[in-house]
Amino acid sequence: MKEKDSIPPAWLFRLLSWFCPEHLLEEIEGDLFHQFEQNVKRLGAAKAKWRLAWSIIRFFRPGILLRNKFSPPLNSYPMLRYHLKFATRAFLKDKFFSTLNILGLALGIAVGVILLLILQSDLSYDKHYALHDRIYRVGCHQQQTGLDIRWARSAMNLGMVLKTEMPEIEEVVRINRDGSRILVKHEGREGLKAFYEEGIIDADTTYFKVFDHPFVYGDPKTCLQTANAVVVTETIAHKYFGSEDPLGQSLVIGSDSWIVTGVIRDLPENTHLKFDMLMSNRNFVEGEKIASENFWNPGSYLYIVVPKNYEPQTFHAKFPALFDKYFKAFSVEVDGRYSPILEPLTEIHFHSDLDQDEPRGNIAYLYGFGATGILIMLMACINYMNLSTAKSTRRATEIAIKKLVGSNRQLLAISILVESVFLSLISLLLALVVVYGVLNFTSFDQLIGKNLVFDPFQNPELMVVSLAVALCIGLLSGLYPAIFLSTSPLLTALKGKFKTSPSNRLFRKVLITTQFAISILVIVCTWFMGDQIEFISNKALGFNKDNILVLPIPDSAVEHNIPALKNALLQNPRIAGVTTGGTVVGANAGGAMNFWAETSSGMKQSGYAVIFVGEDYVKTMGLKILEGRDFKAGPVADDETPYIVNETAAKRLGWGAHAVGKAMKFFHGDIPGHVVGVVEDFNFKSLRNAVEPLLIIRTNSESGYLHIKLSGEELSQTISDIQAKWTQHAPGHPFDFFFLDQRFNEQYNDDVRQHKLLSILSGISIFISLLGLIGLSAFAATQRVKEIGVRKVLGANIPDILFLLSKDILLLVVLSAVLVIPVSWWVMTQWMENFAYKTQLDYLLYIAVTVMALILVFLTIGFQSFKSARANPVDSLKYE
Amino acid sequence: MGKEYLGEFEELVLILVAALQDDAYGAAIAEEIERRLKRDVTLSAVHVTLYRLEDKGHVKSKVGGATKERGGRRKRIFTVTSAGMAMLKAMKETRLDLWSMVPQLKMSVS
Repeated sequence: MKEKDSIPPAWLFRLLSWFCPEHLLEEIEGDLFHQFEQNVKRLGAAKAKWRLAWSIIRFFRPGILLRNKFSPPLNSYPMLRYHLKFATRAFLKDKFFSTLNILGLALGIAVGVILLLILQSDLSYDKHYALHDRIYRVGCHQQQTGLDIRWARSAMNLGMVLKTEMPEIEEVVRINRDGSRILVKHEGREGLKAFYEEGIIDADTTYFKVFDHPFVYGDPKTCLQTANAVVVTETIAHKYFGSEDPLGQSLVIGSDSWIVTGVIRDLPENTHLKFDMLMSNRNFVEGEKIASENFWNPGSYLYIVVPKNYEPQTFHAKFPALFDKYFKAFSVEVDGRYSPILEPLTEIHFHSDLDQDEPRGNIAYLYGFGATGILIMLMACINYMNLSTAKSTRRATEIAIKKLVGSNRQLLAISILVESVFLSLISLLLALVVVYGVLNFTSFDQLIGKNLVFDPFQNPELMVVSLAVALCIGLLSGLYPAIFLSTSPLLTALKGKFKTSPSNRLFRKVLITTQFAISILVIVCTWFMGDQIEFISNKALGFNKDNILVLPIPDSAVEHNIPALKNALLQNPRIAGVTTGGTVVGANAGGAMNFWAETSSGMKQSGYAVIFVGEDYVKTMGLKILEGRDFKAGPVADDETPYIVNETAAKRLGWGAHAVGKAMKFFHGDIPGHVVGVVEDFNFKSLRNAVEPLLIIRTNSESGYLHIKLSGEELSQTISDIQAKWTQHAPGHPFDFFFLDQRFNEQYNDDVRQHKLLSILSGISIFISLLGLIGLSAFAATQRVKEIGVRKVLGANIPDILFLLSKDILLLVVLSAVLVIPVSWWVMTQWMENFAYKTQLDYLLYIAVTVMALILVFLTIGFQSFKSARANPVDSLKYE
Repeated sequence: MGKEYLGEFEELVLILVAALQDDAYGAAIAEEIERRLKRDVTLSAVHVTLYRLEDKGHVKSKVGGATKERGGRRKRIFTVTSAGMAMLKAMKETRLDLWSMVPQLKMSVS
């Protein structure tokens, strides 16, 4: 007892050894011992220990710490050369392992670099505008009876009064986008050029004061001042004018003629408001007395430039006064509430959640990909760790010899780290080549819907960060082997009997399980995503979207010819029906308009989605009438508008089975109307949303889109027939059609893209895991060559041995599949929140994926093990 | 020479190194200071001072043989160099010179 007490606790000395210079350690420890023994005699063991601890802590002082020789400066450069020499030798000696390692690391780094590029582009949205931190977009939140909208737009008129009401606002610009495709023509030296253009916006004359663009021709200050001025991008200028001087040329946009007053550089990829042509605002009226109601029509994007250090709170504080002046009169009529929403320009791309907006980014996807990419890089590190520790038995002798000739633990660890960093730097080079190839020679750009530019010399940030990523990966993957290998016991290693310890094997198992858990997670998620996309693309929508060809009707002249065209088309036996619709389901149908509807408590006003249609719409689209009838053939009467509503609308209004005959009226309209029928609910918008109340209104106007239902036979012939009729009835207009089902499914393009990208990532992840396994199993097979020999002698056959070699890892795969279930379930339910219509999460899928992984793993291992399993036991045993 | 000074504690440790001769190592010096001067010192302070004196060239050191005590750790024995000795003597003389300037002391001695 007494003896034991008088021994100082060893861990205290270990503490000291961490910071105390090696050459001083012994005497200091001795002195501490000495003092401790004295103290035990004088004060007793307990107190002596406290004193010892205190004394040791007091050694943590600069006078001692600074005597540490961190790195012998004279020695480090030649040592580095030696380390590199050894790294190269190790690299060349085992080319198989080195290739596996480099492939894995290079894939990991390549994924990292591409992620970095995506991140760079996404996080820099709209930051190129000089005033970007002072520009806000004003949206609105409106509530009226039956209407609750949060839109990215505001009323034109709000933009007009804003500057007078709030003088501190420096600039205001209103931008309109029609959203539809407009025919643009130019008659020049090179003949007539006509194209449909989608990127057309119009803006106030202040546009270039808010958003600065580099001009190729023209002057930003004056270019929008003249009437009918249009500014185009370089691409457009080239497309229409070729080599001619674009300034002063005329463009016929829609039905009016416009003069080009400026040419700007093409807009960069990372801006939320993209356009090709910018027309000076046609509707600008100043000083006119505006009806209050117009303030409630959010139709334009409204951007304001505020002074430096402006608090958006100021805007909200001042708004009530403005509300009283302009909004109030109408709010009484509709019981309306209105509040503006201010969004900083640079946050629109990712953080806006408003409707009626430009396409924007989905930050959740970015997080998802970021996470997947990091996981893949982690897997590459794990591979390296696994391979180098497994290989350690081979390296043990090398390490032992190094130790014998005087290398210390630190130096050994450094040499192993140098090796891993060396490999990761080689991998970086390979990765950069891969990234360059992927971005330049594949359609990866289209896949992610983004034009990434890989130009390391123009992008120092990228170079620095990818170098850092490579270094981190190198260090991270070298860390464990460095610690593990440098501590290998000298004597056993020299005798060639070095075996990896149980804890090391356990660690390796944990790593393999992690790796497979990650792969299985990514694969399961990819699969679910595919299921859901399949589900929404194939779900019965309640109307027939197949074989419907849609042609935009360009102008009123063509509109006039539509009846004749219809008749001509219907002659064709392969055309089952022709109709017109003001909007196209799945593309731009929806929106909200206010209507009065008859309810049990009188006429009530609320918002509805509306489709204005021509003759035969219900029939051609294959809608199912539940109650009442279809619209009558022939033109509608001028004094009575017929309505068809969907089930949801009938239900919402409490009409039950008595919808037919109920009165309807447009909010401003004088013409009375009645419901003639109810159609079964159909998905006129994407399946992300549930079906909303919808009104189908028959008009005599044939504007919008011509819908042609084909029988589906001899498609190309039918299409050229239609084209012939089209050029006859709509001369000078391009035959620019699309198919309804394609357009409808384009709504899911983002999801499809993400799914494809995720598929690639999951492929990479499983590939990396298998790369690791190839190495491990090749190694394990050589390790157990004698065991296999003995077993074969005793009567084991090849399948037995294959099973023996692979069962451990197969168990790990099953384990990781089980571990992944809750995580993937959580991830997928989160993602499915995006959709109103969801497919079932199928648990069979886990089993399928697991089985697939098992088979892949078994094949990989089996391929490697087969050789050893087939070897003649005599060869492996004859040396014993 | 004139530019080098020794702090009070340094001087103390240096004198003890000279005094203890073959037994001058960290713990012994610390013990001596505690016993004779009734002053609490930490071992680390003594060590740091010894190393500093060694840096300045006032002491030199060698590692002694292992003993069973001290957990089998060897001692580092410090000895004063001639430069250190000269330094000590010079300091002592300047002290005495200064003391002789103090009047009271002169009176009581005479």
